[in-house]
Amino acid sequence: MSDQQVNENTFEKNFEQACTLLQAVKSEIKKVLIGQDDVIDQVLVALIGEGHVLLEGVPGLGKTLLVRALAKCFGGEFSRVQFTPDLMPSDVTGHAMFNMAEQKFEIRKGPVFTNLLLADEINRAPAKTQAALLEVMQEGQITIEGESFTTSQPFMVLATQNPVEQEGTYPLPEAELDRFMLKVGMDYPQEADELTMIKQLSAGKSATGFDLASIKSLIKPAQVAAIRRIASKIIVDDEVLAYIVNLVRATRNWHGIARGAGPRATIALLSAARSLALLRGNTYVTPDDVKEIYLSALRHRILLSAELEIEGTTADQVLTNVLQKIEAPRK
Amino acid sequence: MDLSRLAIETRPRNPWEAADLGLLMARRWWWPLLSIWLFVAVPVWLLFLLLPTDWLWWQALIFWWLKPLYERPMLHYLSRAVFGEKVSVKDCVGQFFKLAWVQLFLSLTWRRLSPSRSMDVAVIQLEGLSGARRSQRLAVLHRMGSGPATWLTIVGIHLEAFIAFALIGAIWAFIPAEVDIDIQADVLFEYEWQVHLLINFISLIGTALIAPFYVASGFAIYLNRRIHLEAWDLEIEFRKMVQKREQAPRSPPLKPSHLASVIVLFALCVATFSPPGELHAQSQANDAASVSGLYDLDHESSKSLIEEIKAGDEFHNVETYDEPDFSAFFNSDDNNDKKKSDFDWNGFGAIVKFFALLAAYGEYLLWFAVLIIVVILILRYREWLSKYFVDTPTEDARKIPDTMFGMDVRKESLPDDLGLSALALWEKGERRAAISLLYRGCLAEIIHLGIVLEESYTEQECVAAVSAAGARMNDGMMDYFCAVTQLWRKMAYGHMEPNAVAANKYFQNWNTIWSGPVDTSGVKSD
Repeated sequence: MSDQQVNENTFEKNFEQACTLLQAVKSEIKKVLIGQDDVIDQVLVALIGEGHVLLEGVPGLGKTLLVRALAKCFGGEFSRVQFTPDLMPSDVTGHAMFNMAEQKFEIRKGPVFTNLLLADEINRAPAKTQAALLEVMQEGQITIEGESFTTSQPFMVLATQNPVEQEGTYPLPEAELDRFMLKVGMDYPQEADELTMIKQLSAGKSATGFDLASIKSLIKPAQVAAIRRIASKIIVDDEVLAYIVNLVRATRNWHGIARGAGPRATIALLSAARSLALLRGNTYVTPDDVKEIYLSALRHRILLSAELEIEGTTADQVLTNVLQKIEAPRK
Repeated sequence: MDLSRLAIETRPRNPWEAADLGLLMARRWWWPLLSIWLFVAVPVWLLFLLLPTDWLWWQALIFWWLKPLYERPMLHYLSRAVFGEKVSVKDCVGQFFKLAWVQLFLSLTWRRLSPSRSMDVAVIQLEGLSGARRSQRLAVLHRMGSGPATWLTIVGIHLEAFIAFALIGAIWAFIPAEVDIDIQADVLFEYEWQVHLLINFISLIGTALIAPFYVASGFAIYLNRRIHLEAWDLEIEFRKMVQKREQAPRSPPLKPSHLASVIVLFALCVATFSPPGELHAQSQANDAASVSGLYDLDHESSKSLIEEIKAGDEFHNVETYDEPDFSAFFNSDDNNDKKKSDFDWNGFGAIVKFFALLAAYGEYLLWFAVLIIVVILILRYREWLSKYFVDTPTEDARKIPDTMFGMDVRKESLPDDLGLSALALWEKGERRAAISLLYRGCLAEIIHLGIVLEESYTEQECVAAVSAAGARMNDGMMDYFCAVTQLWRKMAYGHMEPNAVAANKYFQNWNTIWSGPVDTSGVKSD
């Protein structure tokens, strides 16, 4: 057996294990978050693709529950920061504090030094606090008092925001938005799913919440790193690469889009498509994977023109139009 | 028509003042007018409720379009009431069909949008004129009063809209805050039929409240114009004088010269200002009875008297006007010998002519510009317009494309025996080309079955589209296409070649599925 064949066999074995593990995690989260399969998929895509997720939805859809369930499945560290108008950047990142006993400065690390960071209602904090996440989201490190500290690996930010409430909120700056790999919109569950949810609750011990204790810890930080390595080996054909580039570049000259997506969007789209292929059990990326994740990867990175904003057109509508007009690859 | 019984003060008024008088008339006869309108219009409105709920928009439009018909009984009432005749609401409502029938087609087609409708309707309804005579009559009437009549229409439209919006706003204000209604989406654009019906009803209320004022003001402008034209005020004064004479027999007899002057002046006024023929048919009978019955003047003698008076100094007043002399600005040197007082309009006239010409061409240019703007707007918003005015071609009517996804999908471009050709490619080692040909063949067959595939479709979307149009394909075709799609996806994106057994199966089945059998016994495995 040649080395290449050995490598291929090893890859296939690891790939199958990764798929099985991911499906197990998904099933575990589905136990508590019912009727939001697409959202669970996209959060897992971001986890595999080394990205961050902005979850948007009206209150009560289970955004925080999803993150808590993921944290429970994931054996690493988990921190939660409730973003409030008086939250300071140092409350997130950490700060230097003078120790009177030892007469020296000590670095007190903030909640951002973790594997999974839940930034709950991120748009309630002012811009300066939101900006505290810029460095850590891009570089995976934090600079305190001139010294850089790396975060735990894997590191993932899951931020939530409420699209309806505008009073007392601060819209996320463009630079911050661009650092999120996916912006996932959560919608109301279907009737049947909601019924299942209520039945499950009525049968459970707690009357008000889901029993997260029943969720098993399935995946460890080292395994996440291994899955990420596997995802990076997923085959992407040149035609698919060209398709990704075309889709992103189209937003830069599209009628109705004042500012299109940058190259970071291209990278994010590729990475997300790879992760999705892995989640679907494919060793290669198809244009379908790209299309499926396109809206989530791009919707927060484009700025609509004023006329479309006034007409009430959404970014999703414009991007759907792009998808319909850009030719899918064929050879 | 007995002018002495006129319920309004007869004097020449400014048209705006006449419109104001119309408002007073509407207030004076408010309940009868409103009742007439409601008795006539509401049944029509209710009748349109029989339309399907999706067509409620049409109800509003048609009801609005028929508005001139509901106004005619009101005008009938006013035209009688203003001359002191007693007329009941029931009579007016009963005459609705008779009144509505008069020049119905013209009134509801190009005359429907006439802005001076309120004033003009009296000409057809009360004077009974049509055709060229109506036009001539309107031309005379419009010399004064058409402007206010037009503005009356514009203001009326706005007031109707304001009332409707105010009522909608009032209802909106009374909706509890707990009821979550997106006014833009739910009420203004994508409303339910119940909301639509409510809006129609509110429009009905707005129209009902404005209609009596609109009709009365238009009629008052019309009356005022006739007072101007026919000197009703003078006629009434003369009648009063005659009546006074009749009622005071003991007073000294009127001197023949005075009597003659009065009669001649009266006759002159009537002759000068009287409207054409039948316009005054009703009044002529009265006039004849009142005047000729009292004084037997034959035609010749009155004519000679009129001629005599017309030849007098009163009709030959010469007035001298001084006008400025602008000739110095326009005259050339050859006119220097002329007197300064001889005003020469030649130069000025040339300028006037120039501007008149400019205006005439300018009008054409303006219309041309309007045309260009309309064309540009249509081109600019053609996609939006096409949604509403152009029928989307049905799937069958769509032209089958020659190329899809950058591939030639004409049947002529495919080999006669596609299964064999793909097999030949496979044997030559061109595995990818073989599977590609198979997939292309499937797409070409599907497109020629009339199933619409868009350029932006991915492979899975093509499968979904084919599944959605399942009736046109049998199960064998469907399964075959799904399997070849999977084969192609693995080959194209996963760089994985299918094994020979699988390939053999698809080459062999091609003709069975799409046309006939193919001999694939020679397929070689890896």
